[in-house]
Amino acid sequence: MIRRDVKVLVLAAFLLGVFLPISGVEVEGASRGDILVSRPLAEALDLAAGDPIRLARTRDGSDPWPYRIVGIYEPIPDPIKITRKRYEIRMHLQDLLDREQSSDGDEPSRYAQYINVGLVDPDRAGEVADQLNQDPFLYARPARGAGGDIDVFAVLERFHLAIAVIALMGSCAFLLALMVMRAEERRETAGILRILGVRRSRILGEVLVEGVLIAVPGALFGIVLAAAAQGSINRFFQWKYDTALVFVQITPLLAAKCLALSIPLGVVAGLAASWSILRQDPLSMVQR
Amino acid sequence: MTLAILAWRTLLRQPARAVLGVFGVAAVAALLFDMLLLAGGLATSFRDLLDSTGFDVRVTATEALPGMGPYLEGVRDLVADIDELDHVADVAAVALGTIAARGSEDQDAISLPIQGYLGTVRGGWKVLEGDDLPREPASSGTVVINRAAAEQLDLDPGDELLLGGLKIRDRWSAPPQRCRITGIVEFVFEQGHTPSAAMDLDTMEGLAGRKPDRAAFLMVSSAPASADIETVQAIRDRFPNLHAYSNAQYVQQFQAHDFSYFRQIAVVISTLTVFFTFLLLTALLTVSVNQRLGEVAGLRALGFRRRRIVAMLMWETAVTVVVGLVLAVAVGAALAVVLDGILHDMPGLPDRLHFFVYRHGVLVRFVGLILGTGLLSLVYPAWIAARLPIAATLRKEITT
Amino acid sequence: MSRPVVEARGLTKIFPMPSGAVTALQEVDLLLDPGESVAITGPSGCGKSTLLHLLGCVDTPTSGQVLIDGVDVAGLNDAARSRLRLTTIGFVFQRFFLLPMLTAGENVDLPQLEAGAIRRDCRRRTLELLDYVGLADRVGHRPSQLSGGEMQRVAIARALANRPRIVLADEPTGELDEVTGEQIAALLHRVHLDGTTVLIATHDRNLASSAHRRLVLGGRDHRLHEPGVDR
Repeated sequence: MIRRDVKVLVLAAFLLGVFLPISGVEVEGASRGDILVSRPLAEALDLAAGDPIRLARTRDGSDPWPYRIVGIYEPIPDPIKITRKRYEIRMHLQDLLDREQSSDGDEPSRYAQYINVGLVDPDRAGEVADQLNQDPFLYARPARGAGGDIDVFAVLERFHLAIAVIALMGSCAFLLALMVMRAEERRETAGILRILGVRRSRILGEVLVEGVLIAVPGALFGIVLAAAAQGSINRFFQWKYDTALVFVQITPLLAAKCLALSIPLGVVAGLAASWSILRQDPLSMVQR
Repeated sequence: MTLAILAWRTLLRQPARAVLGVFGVAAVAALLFDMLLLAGGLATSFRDLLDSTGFDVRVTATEALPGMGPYLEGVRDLVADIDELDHVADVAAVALGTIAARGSEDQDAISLPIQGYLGTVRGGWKVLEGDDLPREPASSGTVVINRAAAEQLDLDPGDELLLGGLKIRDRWSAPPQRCRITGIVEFVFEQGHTPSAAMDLDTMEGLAGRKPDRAAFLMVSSAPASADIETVQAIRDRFPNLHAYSNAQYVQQFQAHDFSYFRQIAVVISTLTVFFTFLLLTALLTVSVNQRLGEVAGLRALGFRRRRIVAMLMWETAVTVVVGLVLAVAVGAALAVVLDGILHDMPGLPDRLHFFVYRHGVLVRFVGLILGTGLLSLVYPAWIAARLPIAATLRKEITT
Repeated sequence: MSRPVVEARGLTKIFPMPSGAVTALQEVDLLLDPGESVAITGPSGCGKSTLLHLLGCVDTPTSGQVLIDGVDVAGLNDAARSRLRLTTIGFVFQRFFLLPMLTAGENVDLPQLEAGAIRRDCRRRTLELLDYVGLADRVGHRPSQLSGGEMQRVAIARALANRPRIVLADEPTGELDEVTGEQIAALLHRVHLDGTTVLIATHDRNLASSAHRRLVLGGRDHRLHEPGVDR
């Protein structure tokens, strides 16, 4: 039922006095002594593919072992570990175990943290997990299902959305306050127009057109500004956290959503504020 | 007529504007309040959780979090050796594992995360019902389970819990082992409705049918006269290959690496919020002043000094900001519960770990930031009012 | 002989404009003795308001001197000028500039409290003044609940609040009908008769005729003249 043990990840080891997470990866037919180095580490130590490198188990670098860098890889971005320097290497599991055995004195710790298992029949994952869970020192669970469904990114997205909604509510209140003041400013003009016989609907129509004329370029300007700024924001945070994570992405759908939200909001705020003035008696509107 | 009353009356002149201004401040400031709660909330909550176990030092095999790194080997000897250190009062070892569990033979098995506990002083859970694990060696064969496990398996204290075993097509190919439940407990690091159990390490090893003599981490409590740092140093000196951290150091490491995203985003959003509040308040006050230039010029002509006009505006801003601020704390507290609920959907988080936690000084920082922002936002409109050319404004008012 | 309340020497005011400088006043001299009532007339835009603004210390001349009670105001800082306006000068504006959120009584209270008056004394003085201008029954009314003439009477009461040496009234009837204008003229005349120096800028003949002395501003030389004097 178990096809093969494909990958084993081991967390341990040290490099040049820096604690360094190493992923030991068992791959069929791979060449021993070859390692992969994460891009941040390669940049920090000025390493390139093809370079020889020596790794030691101790902080002082004694008793080093030679390896060869066969490639540089970009670590998978993780927003939860955004401030962590991704100084990592990946090596063959057997290389790591050999290294443990060579050290003096202690019995080697031949532990793998996780074993990812690919099943011939993925539908029987639960059954296999049950079999393995007879031993309390093993923890097996189907990759999908028990907690695996919850995506950190999805949670963060919901969190960001909630923050955006709060910010939107605040800005709506301010926008409406400004519109009320604007309407108040034009109270006398509107009163004169009403006395001259211009209907409320006509004045509101003008406010509507004016609102659209302000809201549309305003919303477009906002999107253009956001689109223009996204590159700089991403570059800044990617530089700050040395990550490939994309922080801001203005997609056409997002731009459309912004337009769909901001234009009606701007127009409605203008109309609501004007309506509160226009409901009054025209004479009271012109009285100072 | 004090300036405060004058400012209050001015705000009441356009109640809609005043109320909306206050709401705007309240909404944006509530967000700022929440971000200040978030900035160090997780670390505080994590520290509280660690402290609530009653142990002040953790020992692991590597820098990795307990359960995330290699095991501690020869744990019984290790516990005994550490227990002999002068600075140490108590030591407990915790092995982590999972086992198939049933309430009865005809039930389907659930995956039950278990802690194998070695030590005389209990930590990591609180007994809700029944009794704790017995302290004497005869405790073998007993188990405490949490409420979720009790409900899912329909068990009470005194019942037997069936652990391990392998059942294929309704027949036992390997029989389960039976443990007596002494009590229902709440684990410090309990997660949602995830069932959990704790038992002595001996019992756990008995279930495995082997004696690996290993644990994920040790919990150490310092002797009354010793500081946690001293205990940490004593362990490091005696066992240089082990990693010992006080709760404070542990939290520091946690803050620096894991979940630092939330600290970062809290800082970014706090900055944006302050800027946003500044921008909006400035716009609101500037429009407000521009609408009343004639009045301001009139007051100046009557003999009001510049600084009195600025003070009047300051009162106006203060009323808006302070009322908004009070609302913001209430709204922010409610929002924090909602946002905490959203973030709590992340996998693997203990129920008692919170993101938005009130800490000493948050309110002072919050009030300081908002009042400071209010003052800053006053600068431009106050400058307009103070530098207003009286005669030119009066002339303009008459001709328009 | 008593010292003049206001003395203007060679006052010139030139407004720089994008289309070229505009001269509003040119070498204007004026002397106002205590208890005098003077009306300055002239066509719109002749510089009447500008002259009042300069004499009222709300504007500064391009050249020349303004002395209030013998003190050259050019040497005063903003706070001192404000204090002078508050205690020595009473302003009456064409558009009243009453604070709409305050009642008539509170509008009259305002300059007194700003000058440091005790609240009880201030309220007594306010009631006296509102009674003086015929609005004793309107103390608690907001400006929006008053007519134009009533608002201007409240403004006059406010101008008198701190017992100023001089009242400067800039087109006080400009926004009022003829009958109401006459009432305001009568009130200002009464203020003058009660001992306050009054300087009125107006193009209202009736109002001007109620003054003790009349001067005309305007013409090509932008100076003050006695009426009928050839310019």
